[in-house]
Amino acid sequence: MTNQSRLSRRMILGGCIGLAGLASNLGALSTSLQSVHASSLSSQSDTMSGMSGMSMSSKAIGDTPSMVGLPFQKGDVAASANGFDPLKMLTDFDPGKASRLSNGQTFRDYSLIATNKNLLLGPQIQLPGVVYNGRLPGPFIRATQGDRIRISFANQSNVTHSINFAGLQPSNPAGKPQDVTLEPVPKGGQAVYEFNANHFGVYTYQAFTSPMADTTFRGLFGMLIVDPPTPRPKALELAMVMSGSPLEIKPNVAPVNNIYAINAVAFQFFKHPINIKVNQPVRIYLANATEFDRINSLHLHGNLFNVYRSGTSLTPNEFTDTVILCHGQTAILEFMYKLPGQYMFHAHQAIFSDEGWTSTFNVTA
Amino acid sequence: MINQRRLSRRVLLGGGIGLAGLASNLLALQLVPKGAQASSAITKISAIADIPRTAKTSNKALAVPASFATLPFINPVEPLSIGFDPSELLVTSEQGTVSKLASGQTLREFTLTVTPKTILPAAGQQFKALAVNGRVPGPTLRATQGDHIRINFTNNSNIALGMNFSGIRSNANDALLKFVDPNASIVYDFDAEFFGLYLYQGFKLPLAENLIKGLYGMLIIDPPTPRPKATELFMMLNGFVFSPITQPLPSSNQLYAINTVAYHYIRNPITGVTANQLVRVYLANVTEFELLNSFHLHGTVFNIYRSGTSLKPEETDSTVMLGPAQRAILEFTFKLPGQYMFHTYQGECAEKGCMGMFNVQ
Repeated sequence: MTNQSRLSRRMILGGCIGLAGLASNLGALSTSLQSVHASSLSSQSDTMSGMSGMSMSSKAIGDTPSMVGLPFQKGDVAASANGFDPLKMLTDFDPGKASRLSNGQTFRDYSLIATNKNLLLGPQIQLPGVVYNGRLPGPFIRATQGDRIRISFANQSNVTHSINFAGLQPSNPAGKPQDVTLEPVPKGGQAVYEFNANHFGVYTYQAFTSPMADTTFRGLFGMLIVDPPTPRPKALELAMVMSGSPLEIKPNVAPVNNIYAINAVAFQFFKHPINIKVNQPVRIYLANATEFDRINSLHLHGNLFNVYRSGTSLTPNEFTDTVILCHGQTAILEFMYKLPGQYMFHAHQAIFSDEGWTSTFNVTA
Repeated sequence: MINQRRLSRRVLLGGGIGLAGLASNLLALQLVPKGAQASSAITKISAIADIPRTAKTSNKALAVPASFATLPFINPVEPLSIGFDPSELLVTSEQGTVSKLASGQTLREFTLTVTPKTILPAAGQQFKALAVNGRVPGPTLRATQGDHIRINFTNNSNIALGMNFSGIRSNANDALLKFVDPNASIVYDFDAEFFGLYLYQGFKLPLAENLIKGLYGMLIIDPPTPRPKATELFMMLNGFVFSPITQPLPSSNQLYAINTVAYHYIRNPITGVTANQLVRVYLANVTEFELLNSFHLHGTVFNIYRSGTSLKPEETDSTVMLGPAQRAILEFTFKLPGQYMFHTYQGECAEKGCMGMFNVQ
């Protein structure tokens, strides 16, 4: 395919924000998040089972006058077509099979199965995808700091690859000096990755193979959330992965994305806004899996959010309405609406938002 | 088909010249003392043509290199011909009409009116903009945390659009659903809840072709205890595409600027700043068709307050990267007198107009 595509494209710097900043305004929103729910700090099982009360407007906005002229805005992608429901996916965290080791450590066992699968990214836009567990993005794996994680990987796809867990150090079997996450697994092969969840944060996992970009945009990408020992305050928790896809791949031509989305389907949450409540704390686990574009972003209307870059700190880095992530970067965003209304959130790269990465929160009293 | 979209990016630039070479020229024109520089704010130097050429300007070391003339958009723009002067925009903000609400809260009322306007981002380069209050960028609005803000918005353009106040916790600016028809008005009402540097932008889908028309400006909400006294400057990184926006969408802009007019602050360097005097730049990026833009300053480092929502800087550097709609407050001093450039660090954008100069006494 086109692994030479990147050579001609320029390097840009990802956002580099120091962790030191802590200020009066930064704490403002999180303080109120905590004060509202101080009495109801969630237990771990609560956070991991997904939140109740989640719903999506059944009435499609569809062809609002403001949408005329945008590609991919007409029609819907049925959940049955892809085999997964984007709404349920928002809150679908995978806690694995939990057990306890003899030393008292919690042990979580997960399974990732890679398959080839055709997916609809928009009405009539079919991607010959390669995905984990039948979905794009892959499962949102969830554990708690201190846990032992085991991932049993079965590769049933035609892409020989290993899985790399960014930021987490795998344990190698005895006598294996090389990183086991770099050992290719052919079709029909299996591998087991084991590691300790040493530090809380939002991590990514993705296929490690060549051409790398090609397999990432086709779906071999997911998020791994390690919760802090004391859980974050209770909130509606939503997992979102930003991605994009070219409509054409030509030999010797750098691919360009033509359709963008969070959680695979373009304009899904614009046509069907995500329902939330006034004063309901919302926490977004955000990752960027967009290839072929150096960065992507999330811009929220009518609000400010606290940004916890990489999710590795309990102190926010920034209090803002726009966050930029380069490929592989993650962040936690926390906010709460004080007034009912319909509020868009979208990439503030206008080309991306016009081509599918536009969504709406429907906030009701 | 669409794959060609971003491929032409590299080809657009001809041979560039080094920034250092540029730094050494036009500055000669700044050596003319100006009587008005005693005032506390920034003193503006007239456009190039108005300044008498002294012997010093013909100093060989400061001579304009021949290659300089090949830079696009370097020719002066007469401020009067576009109805606003970027040197004025740089230092001007509006406090609004102030009154007290029954609750005791301070009310600040602003009027924003959108009209079609042909502007000149460079000499001979006409751009059919939508201007707010006759200028691009629109006025810098200013309030204090705790105030109530009322925006009387009138749309005198020929398209229906809304105004989105980024980061303002309100549903009054629900631009998606409350479009304002041509020749109609609306009132946006909201509290200045958290101090910070905010943005307002005309909003209409498709975003790509409508965000670039010039409908943008900054809204500053000052903290209850004001930031330390400083020379304050307002800068918006913007870009322009002169040809019609069609599919495939452009992969870059044809001209880049700080406050609309290419090279304005090269031809009219910022003066009135002295060594060790605190300078505060309110910076916002509204450049479309670029994933990001940046601000790089020579000869010193600045503290960065991203989104202006904190009183503690996140970083100290000489370069800050901003994606579209991102903002930052920058604070710095120059230790020594001299001429210091600032520009985007994306060279192709810098060479198409996004550069400026401090002339520090």
